[in-house]
Amino acid sequence: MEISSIIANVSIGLSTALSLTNLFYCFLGVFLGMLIGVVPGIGALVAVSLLLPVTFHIDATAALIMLAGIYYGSAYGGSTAAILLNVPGTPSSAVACLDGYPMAQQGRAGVALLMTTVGSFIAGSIGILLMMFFSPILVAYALKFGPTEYFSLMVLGLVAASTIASGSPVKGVAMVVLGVALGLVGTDIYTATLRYDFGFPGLYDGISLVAIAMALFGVTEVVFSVRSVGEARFKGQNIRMRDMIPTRDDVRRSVFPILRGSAIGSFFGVLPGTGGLIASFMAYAVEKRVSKTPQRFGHGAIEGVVSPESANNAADQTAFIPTMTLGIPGSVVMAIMLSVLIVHGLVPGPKLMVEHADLFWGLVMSFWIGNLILLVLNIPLIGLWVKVLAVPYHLLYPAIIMFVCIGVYSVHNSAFDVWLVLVFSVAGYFMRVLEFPAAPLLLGLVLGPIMEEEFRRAMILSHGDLSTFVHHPISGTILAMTLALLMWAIWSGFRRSLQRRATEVTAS
Amino acid sequence: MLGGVALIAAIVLVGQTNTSFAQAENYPNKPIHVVAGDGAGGPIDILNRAIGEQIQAMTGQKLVIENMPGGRQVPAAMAVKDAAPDGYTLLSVTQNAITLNPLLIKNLRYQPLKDFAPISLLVNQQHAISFRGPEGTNWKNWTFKDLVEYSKANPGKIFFGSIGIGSGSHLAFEWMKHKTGARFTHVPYAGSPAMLRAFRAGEIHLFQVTVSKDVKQMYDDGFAKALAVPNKGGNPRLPGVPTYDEAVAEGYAYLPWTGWFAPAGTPKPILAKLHGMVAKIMSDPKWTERFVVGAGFLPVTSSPDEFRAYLANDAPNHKALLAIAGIKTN
Repeated sequence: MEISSIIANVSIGLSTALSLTNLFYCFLGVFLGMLIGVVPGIGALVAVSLLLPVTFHIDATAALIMLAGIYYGSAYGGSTAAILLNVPGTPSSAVACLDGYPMAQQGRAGVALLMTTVGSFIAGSIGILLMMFFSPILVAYALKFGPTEYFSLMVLGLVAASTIASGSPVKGVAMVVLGVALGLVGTDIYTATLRYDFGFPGLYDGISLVAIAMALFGVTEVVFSVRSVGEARFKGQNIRMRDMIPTRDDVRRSVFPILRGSAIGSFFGVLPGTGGLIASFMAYAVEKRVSKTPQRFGHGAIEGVVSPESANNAADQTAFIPTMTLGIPGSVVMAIMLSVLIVHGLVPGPKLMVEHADLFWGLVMSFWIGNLILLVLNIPLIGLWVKVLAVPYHLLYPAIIMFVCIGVYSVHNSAFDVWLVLVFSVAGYFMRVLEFPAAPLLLGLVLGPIMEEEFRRAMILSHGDLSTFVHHPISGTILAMTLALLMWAIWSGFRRSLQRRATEVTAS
Repeated sequence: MLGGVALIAAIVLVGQTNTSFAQAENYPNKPIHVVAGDGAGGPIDILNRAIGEQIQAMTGQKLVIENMPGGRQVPAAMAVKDAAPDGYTLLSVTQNAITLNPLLIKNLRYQPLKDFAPISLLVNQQHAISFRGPEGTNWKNWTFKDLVEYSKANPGKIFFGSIGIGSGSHLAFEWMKHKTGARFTHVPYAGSPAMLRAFRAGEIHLFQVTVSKDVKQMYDDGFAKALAVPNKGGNPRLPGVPTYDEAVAEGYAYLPWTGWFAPAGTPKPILAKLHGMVAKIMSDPKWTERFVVGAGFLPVTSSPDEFRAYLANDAPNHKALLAIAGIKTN
């Protein structure tokens, strides 16, 4: 694209996005999204569904600007509850609990919130720039990812993620396996066989991810904390503006994680069917791998907070690329966006960018304005959010449980899912007591079904030839990387035990 | 004595008819809940919301859409099964809930034609067989017969996608294979977006899809072509594309639909009134162009009795198709 046409498009976009009406819908969207993101359990899907009928009556551009604002706004808010309360606002913020909550316990909640907000803004902006300049190229590459590539990528994901947990590696792997096993529940799309449904229609589509995430992270945390009520807890009410200011070390540590997180998030966002949750897990795994001090992770490493949060914000922006340019929505929320387009008689695809330049570029520019609003809105709010910690347990925790129930119910309007929360909360409690980490289970549950589905599809397409995974260049490369990662992990483990033995020998 | 019983019975009966007429007269005097077996933004959901606005304009009463997606529409059906049969709780589902589930799910906890009173068909899906041939072939000039020949000469080279076993998108191809001896390999996907991605990437060559605007665009751009349409009389959006009868073989009898149901026992005058409203809405071409045709549907309505008769035929048709596809039924 030529510079002049880009400038022309940007100015069309800005003039559309900055019109008073659109600015209003943008503000409304991001504000609602942020609030919804903060509240545990209630995600963007609920708000977008509720506001869908309204969009029939307003201009398509304004409608999309508002719904999109809710969508990416909720990713900003999602980390807030994760950091402050160890209860993720949305499943894709579950990773932010791992290091965000320890930071809060150390009295550094303000720093964590500020750095994730800044990181989210940078990541969102990178996602937007990619959408502006590289949509056609990114779509072409996304289409190169077929079943073999998805499968290999998920294998890489599982191997990389086996290091997420900071406790015993064996327990981490066990939880991944348990997650994959739970992912078996539901209808097998290849044979229409119902697996482990026990006669409950609520299990025909598998175990609700939101229910498990909220049970294992949200309710478990609440119940576990009840044990320590009365003990001294960190002082949230004493946070001053000064405590929000990150040290030079914090900033230095965050720069590259934000950029790496943005890159990882942008990548997964473009691939339909993956998205923010997988991206945030991968970003965390990468940070832990590249860190010189991986032992800090799980104990309040700022890299472990900013990188995954940057990743899920970038993914939320780039997820618009396949939706708008191909009409292929990567998630349920994106499918709703698509239906708004279609109800207004607009056809997604490459022509949308040309024939409805005001809509496409107006939307893209509104993303940026929305991200800016979120940044400006969030920083003063940090002080307020931190005050949440001062709310007494007996008021705060019942409220969390209530929101979790409402949120989980609202996804499928299903009371069954609320019972699932109860069951998995009990399981989660015992997991916590026995120090089995929940994050690997969640990842296994997300990756397992994708792996199975894509593996079997790859087998159909190759007529049962396993070498298809090596012969496809992208897939082969990913598998080689996986192997290298595995070898390196084994070797470094071996070396460490050698060193330990050596020190023991010298000591004696 | 006997006369007394008859008299009481007569009074009760008359009374009932009177109240049900009275009910229909005032109906609706509060919001009507429609449980949709679809998520927000899905095709059934959008359709019902759009109908709801028209009904509100007619009667002043809101249509409250309750989304119960997934679970093969069983949760949606169960939610309406035991609702009060007063016309204030309706069910909007597709052939999956009513015709296919009894054939495919063991111990299904509802009996469609016993537990529900049909109100009206709303729409039929406007399908077409979308085709993009393998690289290096002049597929743009192929007819369905050419494709069949190619698949016989190159077994295992032509893949078709579907959105699941027993879905229309699956059965159509199994029937075609059965009728023509074509060698197509089935690749199921979890939903139409995933299938569309695969088609765009050249992973699959064939899929049956609702002809919404973006799919139509794909044909207009020359990325794919429509080989056949299932509807008798063709698809109005795709003039010149042959029907299954013409292009494949005679006798394909699968037409996906979406309809309205009430709990069994809902007074007939109320069912009739609801059907009347739907028929009126569906006859407005300006409205249907935006909310029905644009989404790839064809507006069709039928009186409660016609709908019941239609459903009685629907089950054996599906059963025969499932048998052809080699799917075990109850």
